[in-house]
Amino acid sequence: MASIPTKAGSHAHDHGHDDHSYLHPKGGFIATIWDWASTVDHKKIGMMYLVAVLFMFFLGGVAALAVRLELMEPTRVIENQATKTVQVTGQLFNTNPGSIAEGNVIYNRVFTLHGLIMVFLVIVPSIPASLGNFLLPLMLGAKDVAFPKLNLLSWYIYLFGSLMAVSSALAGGVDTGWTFYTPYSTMTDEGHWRVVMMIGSAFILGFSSILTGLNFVVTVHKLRAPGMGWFDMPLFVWGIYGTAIIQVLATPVIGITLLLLIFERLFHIGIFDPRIGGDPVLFQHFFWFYSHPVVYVMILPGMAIMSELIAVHARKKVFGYRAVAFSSLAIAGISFVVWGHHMFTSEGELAATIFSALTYLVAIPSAVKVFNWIATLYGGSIKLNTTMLYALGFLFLFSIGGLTGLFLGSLSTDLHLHDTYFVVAHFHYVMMGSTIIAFMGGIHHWWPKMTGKMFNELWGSIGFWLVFIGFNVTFFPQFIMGSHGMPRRYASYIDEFTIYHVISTYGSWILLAGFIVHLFNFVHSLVAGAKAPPNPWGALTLEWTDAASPPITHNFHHEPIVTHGPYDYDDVVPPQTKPGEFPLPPPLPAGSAKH
Amino acid sequence: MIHLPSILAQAAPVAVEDTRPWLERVWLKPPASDFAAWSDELFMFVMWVSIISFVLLMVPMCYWAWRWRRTPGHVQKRTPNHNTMLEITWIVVPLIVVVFMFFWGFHGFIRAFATSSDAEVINVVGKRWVWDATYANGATSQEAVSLDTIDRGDGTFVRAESKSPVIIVPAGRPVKFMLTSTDVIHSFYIPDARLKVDVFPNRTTSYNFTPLAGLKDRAENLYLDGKDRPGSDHLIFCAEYCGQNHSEMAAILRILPEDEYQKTLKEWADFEKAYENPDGSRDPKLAADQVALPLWKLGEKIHGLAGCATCHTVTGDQGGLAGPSWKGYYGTNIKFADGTTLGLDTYPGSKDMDEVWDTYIRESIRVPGRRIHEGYANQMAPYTFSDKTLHGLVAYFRHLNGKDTKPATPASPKN
Repeated sequence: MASIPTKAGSHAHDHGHDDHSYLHPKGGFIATIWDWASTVDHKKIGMMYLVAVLFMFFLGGVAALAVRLELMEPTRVIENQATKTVQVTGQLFNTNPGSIAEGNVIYNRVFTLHGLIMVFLVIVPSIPASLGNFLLPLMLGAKDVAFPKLNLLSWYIYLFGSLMAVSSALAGGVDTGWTFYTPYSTMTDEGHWRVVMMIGSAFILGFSSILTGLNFVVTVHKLRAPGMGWFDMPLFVWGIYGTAIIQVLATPVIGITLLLLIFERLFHIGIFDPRIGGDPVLFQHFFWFYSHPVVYVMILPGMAIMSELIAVHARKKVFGYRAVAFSSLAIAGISFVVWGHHMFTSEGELAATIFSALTYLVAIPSAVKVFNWIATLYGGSIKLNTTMLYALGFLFLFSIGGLTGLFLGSLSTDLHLHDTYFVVAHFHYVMMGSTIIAFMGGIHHWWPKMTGKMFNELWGSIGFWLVFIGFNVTFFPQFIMGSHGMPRRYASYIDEFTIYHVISTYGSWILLAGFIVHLFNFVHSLVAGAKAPPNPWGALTLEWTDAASPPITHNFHHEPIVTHGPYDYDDVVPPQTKPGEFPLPPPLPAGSAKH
Repeated sequence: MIHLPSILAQAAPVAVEDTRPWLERVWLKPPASDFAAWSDELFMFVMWVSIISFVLLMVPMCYWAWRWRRTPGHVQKRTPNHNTMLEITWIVVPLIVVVFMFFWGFHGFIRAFATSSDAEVINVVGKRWVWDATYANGATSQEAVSLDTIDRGDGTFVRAESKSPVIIVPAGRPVKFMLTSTDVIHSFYIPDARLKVDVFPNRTTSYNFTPLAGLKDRAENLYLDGKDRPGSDHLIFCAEYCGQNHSEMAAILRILPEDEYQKTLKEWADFEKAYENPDGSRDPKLAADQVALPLWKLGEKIHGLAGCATCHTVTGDQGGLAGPSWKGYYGTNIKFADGTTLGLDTYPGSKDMDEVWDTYIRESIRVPGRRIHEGYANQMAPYTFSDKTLHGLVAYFRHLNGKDTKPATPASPKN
C-alpha cells in the first residue's frame, strides 16, 4: 500500500510550486483568463474541451430537434380546387407557400449540420479529449501528458477548426451530408466557399485528433508510475490507448482525402468526379477507410469508461481483465479492415463478401466486452446511483445497437436496410445510446474529481431516466420505419410512416427534458454542491487514491508507487476514504480456490 | 415465416391475405419478389437470434443489479475474476452463429446479382430527380402517378409536386434492372422487393428478381391510384442522397400479368402516334377512327412524365423550383449567367426570335449547361428525346406563351 492519504496543502513541499487545486484562480480575472488560455495543464485543457464539446453538443442537438420537428408531418402540397390556390403543409423550413423545394434545401442543410457537428466536433473529440486528457496522466500517476505544449496546440487546432465549421454554417451551411459523397459535394453550391470551408474544417480537426492520439500513445508507453505494468493499468487507459492508435493511423487518410476533394472542387483535378475522369467509388473507399475506424474512435472510449463505472460501483474486479484489454486492441485492429460494409450496395460482389465476413468478426470482441461487464456484476455490491444507472443503460442500448448491426452485416438483408432509417436507428444506438450515454456516465463519475463538488443523486437519476426513456422513444420507432422502407435524408415522406415519425419527435422532446435536468443539476452542484471528498466512490485507481478533489496543479504531491491492481476491491481498503465506509468481504473458507 | 413455394404458386398477380406471423408483420411489409420472401426469412432468423440474445443479456443484468444492490451492511462476494472455459465458450458460440448468418446472407446476395439468361432487361436512368425506364422494345414509361393523391373530402386534395413514373414488370418472370445515372449517385430502392443498388454516373449496376403478386396490405386494393385492376403497385425510392429534391425522387413498380405487360409495352412503344406530326399530318399508325391530338399536347405530356415538372412550372411563377418557368420568357432576349444575351446572333443564321428560341430550347434539353439562364444554377441533366417529341416540347412552349403552335417549317437544330 503505497498510497499515503494526504490532505491537499498540508504536506511539506520540496520545491517551490503551489499546493492549490488546479482550479484555484491565479490573480485577477484577466490573469485567470490568460492562465487558462496559455495553460499546458492537461486538466485545464481537458476541462476546456469538455465545455467546448458540450456546447457543440447543444448546437448539434438543436439541429437534431429541428430535423425531428420538420419530420413530424409528411410534407404535402395542397391544391384547393375551389380557390385554385396551392399551399404547402407540414414543412417547418418552408419559405415559399407554393412549393416544397426551398424547404427541402434548408432541411438538407440542417441535417448535414447535425451530422457534421455531432461527428467531427462532438463524438470524435468528446471522451478522449475531455475525460481522456483529464484522467490519463492521473490514472497513470504522471504529472502531465508526454507533450503538454502539443496538447495545447491540439486544443487550439480544435478551436480553430470548430470556428471554421460554425462560420461556414452561419454563412448558410452546406447540403453535402456529413459524408461529402462525390460527385454531389463537388457540384453543389457551385463557386461558393462554404463547402470548401466546411471540408477544410474537417481537415483541420483531423490534426487535433492526430496530435491528441500521438500524445496519448507516448504517455501510456513512457509515463506509467513505478510499479504499474501494462496489466496494472486501469481499463479506461487500455480503451483510450486503442483509440489513440486508431486516431494516429486512420486520421491522415481522411486528411488526404479531404484535401483531394478540395483540389477537385477548386482546380477541377479529376480524382472522384467521372465528368473529369475520376471515380466516385474511390472516394467512398478513402472516406470509409477512415470513417469506419473512427466509429471505434467513438465507441472505444465509451467502452473504456464502462469498465471503470461497472467495476467501481459494483466493487468487483472486471471479469476477465485481460480479455477486455485485448478486445480493445482487437477492435482497433479489425476496425481497419471492415470499411467496405458501408458500400455493400456500391462495390463489387467479391469485395462485399469479404467485408461482410470481416464485419461479423469485429462483432465478437464487442460481444466479449458486454459479457464480461455483465459477469462483473455477479456477486457485487452494486450502488444504483446515477453513474451506475448510466452504465446499465449503456449495456441495454449498446446491446440493441450491436444486435441490430447483425442485420446490416448480412449481405442480403443489408440490400434492403442500407441507407434506410434502420441504419439511422442503429448508429444512433451505438453513437448516442452508447458513446454519449457512457460520456454522461463518465461525467457524473468523475464530476467530484474534476470540480471538487458533489451533485444531487436524485436529480441525476431523474435526468438519467428521462434521457434513457426519451432515447428509446426517439430511436426505436426508426428501426420499424426503416425495415418498412423509409430512406434516410428525406425531407418529406409518404404518409404510412407518419405515426413512427410522430412518436420519434415526441421522444426527442423527452430527451431534451432529460438533458435540461442534467444541466441544472450540474449548475446547482457548481454553485451549491457539497464539497467532494477525495475518494467518494471508494475507487482504487490513482486519480482517486492519491490525488485531491480537485487535484492540485501537479496532480500528486509525490510520484505514486503502485502496489495493487486497479480493481482489487476484495483485498485493499480504498485509501482516502472513511474507515469502514467500504468494508472488505469476509475471506473465503480455507482450501477453496482463489483466483 | 414465408414459405417460398406457396408464394411462387401465387405468381399470378392476385392479392392474397397476409398470413405471416405477427412479428414478421410488425417488422416487414408483404414481400413482392422471390428475393424478398427469401431475405425475409433471414431477417426473421436474425431477429429471433437478437431477441433471444438480448433477453439472455438483460435478464441476468437486471436481476443481479437488483439482487446485489448495495444496502447497509451488504458487501460484495469473493468470486472468480475469470474463467477460461466460460470465456472461450462465449467467443466460440457467437462466432458459430455469425458465420452461419454470413453464409446465409452471402447466398442471397449472389442470388440478387447473378443474372438468369431469360431475364427481362429494363434500363433505368437516374437523374435529378426522376427515374427514366426504357424497355426491351424501345418503349419508355408513359404513365405517372402522383404519390400523394388523397381526397380530403372537403373540396381539397393533396398532390405531389411532380408525378412519379410507373415502371412495369411482368409477374412470375425474372426481370433485370440495368441502372446508370447522368449526374450524381442515386440508389434504386424497391422496399417491397428488399433490393437496392447504387446508381453511378460512370458505370452500370444491376440486380434481378422475380416479381410476385403482392399480399393484400392496403385495405381496398393494391393500386396507389385507387383503380382496380389485376396486378399491384409498389414504391421505388432513391436511397442515396442526391440533393434538393432527393425525397421527391420516387417511382412506382407495377407488377402486371404477362398479357397485360405485353399489351402495355406495345402501347407505350408507339405512344407518339396519337399526336399530329410536326408538319401537321396524321401518323399513319393511328387508327382511322381516332382524332389526332395537337402536337403541343405531346410536350405537355412529356413535361409531366419526364421529370420536367420537378424543376419547371408552366404558370409563369418560378414557384420556388430549381429552374425557370416555361411560361413568360419565350421570345425574349433573356440574359445568361456568363453575361451574354440570347439574340439573333446567338445562333448565326437565325431569321427571327422564334427560330432562336426553337434552337435554344433544343440545346437546353440536350446540353443544359451550355447556356444557363441568369440567376439559376446548372443542375439539369441532359435528356434525349425523339425528334417528334422535341418538336412537341417546342410546340408546348409556344402554346404556353400564346403563339401559333404550327410552324410550317420547323427550324433545324443547330447545336
